[in-house]
Amino acid sequence: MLIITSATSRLRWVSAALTGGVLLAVAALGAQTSVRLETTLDENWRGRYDILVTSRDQDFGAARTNGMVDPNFVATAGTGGVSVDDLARIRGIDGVEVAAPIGMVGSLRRLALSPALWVSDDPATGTSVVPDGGLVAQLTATTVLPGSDGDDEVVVARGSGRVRLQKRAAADLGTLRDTAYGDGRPQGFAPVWIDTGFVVPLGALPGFGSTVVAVDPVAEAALLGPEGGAFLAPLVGLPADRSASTKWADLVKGDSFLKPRADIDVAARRSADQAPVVPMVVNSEPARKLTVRVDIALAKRTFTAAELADPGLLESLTASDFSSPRSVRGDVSSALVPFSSPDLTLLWPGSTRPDDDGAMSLSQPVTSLAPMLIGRPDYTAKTPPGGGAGFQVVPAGIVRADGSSEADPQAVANGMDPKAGRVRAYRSADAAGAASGALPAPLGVYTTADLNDPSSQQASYVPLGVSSADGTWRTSSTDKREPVAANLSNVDFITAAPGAFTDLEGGRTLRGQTPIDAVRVRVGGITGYTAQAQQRIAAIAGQIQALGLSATIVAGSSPQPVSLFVPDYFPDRSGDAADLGWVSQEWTTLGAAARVGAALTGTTLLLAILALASNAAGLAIVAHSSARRLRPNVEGLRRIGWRRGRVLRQLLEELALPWTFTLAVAVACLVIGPVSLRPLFAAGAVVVTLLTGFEALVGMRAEQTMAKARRGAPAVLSLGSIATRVLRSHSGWTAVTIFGSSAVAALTALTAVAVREGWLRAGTTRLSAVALDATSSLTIGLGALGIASAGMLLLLARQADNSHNAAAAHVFTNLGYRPATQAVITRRQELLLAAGSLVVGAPAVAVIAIALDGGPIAWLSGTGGLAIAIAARLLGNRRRTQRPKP
Amino acid sequence: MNTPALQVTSLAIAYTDTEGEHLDVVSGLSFSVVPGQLCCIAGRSGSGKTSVARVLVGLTAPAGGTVTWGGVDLSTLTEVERSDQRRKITGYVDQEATLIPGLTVLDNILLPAIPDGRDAARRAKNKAAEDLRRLGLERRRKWSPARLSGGERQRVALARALTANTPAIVVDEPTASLDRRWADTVIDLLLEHADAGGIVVAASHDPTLARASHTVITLDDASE
Ligand SMILES: Nc1ncnc2c1ncn2[C@@H]1O[C@H](COP(=O)(O)OP(=O)(O)O)[C@@H](O)[C@H]1O
Ligand SMILES: [Mg+2]
Repeated sequence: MLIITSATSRLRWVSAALTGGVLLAVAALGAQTSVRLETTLDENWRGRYDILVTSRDQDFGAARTNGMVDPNFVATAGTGGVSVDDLARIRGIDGVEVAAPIGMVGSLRRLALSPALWVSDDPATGTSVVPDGGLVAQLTATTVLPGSDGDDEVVVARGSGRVRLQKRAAADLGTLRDTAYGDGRPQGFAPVWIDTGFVVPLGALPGFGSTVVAVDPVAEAALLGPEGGAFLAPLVGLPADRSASTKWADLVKGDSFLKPRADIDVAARRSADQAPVVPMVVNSEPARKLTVRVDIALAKRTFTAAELADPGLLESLTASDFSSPRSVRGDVSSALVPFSSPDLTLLWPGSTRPDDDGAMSLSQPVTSLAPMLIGRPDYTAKTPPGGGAGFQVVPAGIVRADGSSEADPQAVANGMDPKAGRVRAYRSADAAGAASGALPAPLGVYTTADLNDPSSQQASYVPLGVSSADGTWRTSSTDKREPVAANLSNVDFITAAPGAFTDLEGGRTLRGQTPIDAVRVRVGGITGYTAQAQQRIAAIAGQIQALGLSATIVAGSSPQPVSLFVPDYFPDRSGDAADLGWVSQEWTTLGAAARVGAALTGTTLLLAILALASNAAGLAIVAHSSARRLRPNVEGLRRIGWRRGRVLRQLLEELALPWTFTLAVAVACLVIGPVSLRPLFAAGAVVVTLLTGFEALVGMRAEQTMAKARRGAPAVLSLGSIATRVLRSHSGWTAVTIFGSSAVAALTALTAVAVREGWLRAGTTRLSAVALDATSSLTIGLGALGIASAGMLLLLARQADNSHNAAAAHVFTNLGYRPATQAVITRRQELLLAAGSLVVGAPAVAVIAIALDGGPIAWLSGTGGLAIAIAARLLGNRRRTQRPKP
Repeated sequence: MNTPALQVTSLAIAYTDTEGEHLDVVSGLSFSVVPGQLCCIAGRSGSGKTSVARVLVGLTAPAGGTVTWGGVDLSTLTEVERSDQRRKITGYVDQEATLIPGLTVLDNILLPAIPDGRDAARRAKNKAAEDLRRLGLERRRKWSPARLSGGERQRVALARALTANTPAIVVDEPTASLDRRWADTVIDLLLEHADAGGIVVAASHDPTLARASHTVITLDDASE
């Protein structure tokens, strides 16, 4: 039977139930958060490989680029590499499931490509576009890449020359009178005379190259999965004899255009030297769309036969002798495909393509192979305008469109503009290495689509080293993301898709004993994101380091957008170099999983602390308030002769049940809650016990017989001062209201700051986005719990105030106060409480916003929380006072 | 003092409890009180004294009959008018002598005057000093009601009605918690108010008070 606590029992149970509810909710939300976080990390912490092994001389930018690695990092000119023996040692380490080597070993280059203009002049059929009086024209051939949105086309090469052609009669054919019937200046524009017309060469295109990458096709397939590595199949199981005596063409499967080439190239050189052969699969897709535009300007006047026959005619003309030009365009993208026999012929207006057009091609289909070491760009720190991770790429010298440092004198002599098409280099290119003159043997083809790794969209994606999908975006102020593609130089800051893959043996032929830039190691026997798994990976990384190599753990990393400032991008467009500006790329952030895990676990802990602290504060206030109400009952029992010890026992017995209940809930939470929150629940159990003891202690203390007289307090003379005096008289609850609403404000601000901090610390990686997605609703729920705990306190205070006010209303009514007059007093009380809440709450929010550097979110949420706390009370009260009386 | 006469005609008071049980407390009660009179409403506990007192001051509505003060029927007044009447004409001291705990004794006494403004409150403060003195409360002026004894509280409530100085005072069990000496003092004060031309209606089972009254209305026990 409740003797001492009967009157306060309801309040005590309400607060015990609330505390139990908050404890359980914290435990449930906390547990759920950590489960979701663990699941997310388990599913997303590992990419295709766990450790990136490089030579000691290289670092993957972790130091200079803040633990971030740029997408296509395999380009390590001049810094040595990993040897095939090292690879074997890595594979010998217990626990290494896959060790897939990769290296950029050389460059495939086309030779002597020249687009040409076909001019029909067939005396046999009488079809000719050459007028009777002959044809004198000024030709300018400009090779361009399409510009990005809104930009002009990008000039790659420009050549110009003059040509004169004379219509031929059937009798002229077979006689060698080129000069009389066709003449060009400079030599690169000299027409070739064939039976059905003239082929006018348009200078020479630069010798565009593309990179050759060495991999182990078997290991690569193990890394990528059988489908991802399928395009490398022609490199599997090749004969040991890598000389020209192997019938390479027999190894070509299907009717690929490469079939004839495989032997032709090898055979062409067989007699010349004993150069080794490098088997490869080749990218059959042009890297970019390449267009030639020919501007044809005809001479303004006609010439006499004598004038036309004068060898000095073309030199004697000036620019003003030609009319304004008309243009002819042609797609020459196939010039970028190695080993292809591209048709680069454009038609003179009115000309028809002859039946036997093989004769028209002036291009040599020969593709050569050269060792080429291409370096990585250098990056320096630079903060992007919108904040976040950012770097500036350091420009190197200016190179020609094909990456060569100097213009070919032969090409210049043939009419090519040595300044046209120059681009900025951001990498070094070094034509050094072991054997040069190795012969390529193309055994298969692939397209850029074959390089697309389906895992590249995952949160755990780690780039394979050379073939990450082209993902550079120009970030303009209009928020439109326009893609930026690599130029054709191979030394752009963006990496173009590789032109060919060879095997390690091929790599060794080109680059010598250390053909490997990186080895991507996957560790076997790993399941979830556990400490054990991480230790296992770390242990293997340690063993690799012991071999004298550098081993970077990439398990647990994740891509994140990085802003890159590209200066001096357009070296010759306007004379002065112009910047490309900011672009965005996805870089790999090392240690993302650890960061996300720590940040979100920390946030959960912080919010749980806030929720429980807020609840404990409420519990303490309720305990104090109800304890004082125990005193008269304690006194009463003492008066009727109960001994002090007996009264205390009685009181403790009565308090035991709610205490046991709350304690049981706390202990249950300790068991079911997540490990990280266990100390909190233990603290909760202690606090509950202390507060029960406190309540008993306060309750047992003898009631103060002499309440403090209000000396000097002036008599109440107005309705306003009645309100003030009444509020002061139950200052306990008044304080609860004022501090409760301030607590709501402070907690809202703190919650916002904690959540924001957690999100900031989690970073902007894909992994953090996935993890935040999985946990944000729970985090917000946990934050709301703390705020709701403080809100509960406000409700209790309002209930207490309401019963006080009801008692006072009884007196006022007896004394003849009008309802409106009573409302004046109540309203005044509420306004005073609101003002008090504002005076205490606003500085609390300010302190949090300023001291914790919470930013606008802290201000906004804090003031919002305060406004809601105050408004809820004011509006709730208005509703109550407006309710009609029965 | 311009005191309105009280006229009660065929008054009936009835309650319906939560179970729907009907209880007729008073029926057919008629009486009148003229200025200068102390009227005692007597009867045993539970006979309906408090009920009648509350009806007289317009706190509850009767089931039948009329209550008029100076010829004005209470049932014709609005709630606001009834409030004003209670504060300015028919002051009321309830049986529990309830005081507002947050205010001092003096503050509680000033409550009826406060809605009339600061000047009225100041005047009341001057008058209160005398009333407090006569009721032996001058040293309790600044006390909180929580510290008062039951008898002291009753005297404070009466002092409040006297200070308000309404023409009529309806007072419920004014001597219940008082010793004989203070009870006599209170009766003297009530008679004094009547003598000054006021009306006092006291609901009381105190025979001494009944004897001192000019008229006594005895209520029959409702349960009989
Ligand atoms: N609000 C009420 N509702 C129901 N019954 C009431 C109410 N007030 C008083 N009574 C009943 O009316 C009767 C008279 O009560 P009351 O007027 O307080 O008597 P007295 O003051 O003479 O002791 C009692 O039986 C009491 O229980
Ligand atoms: Mg009574």
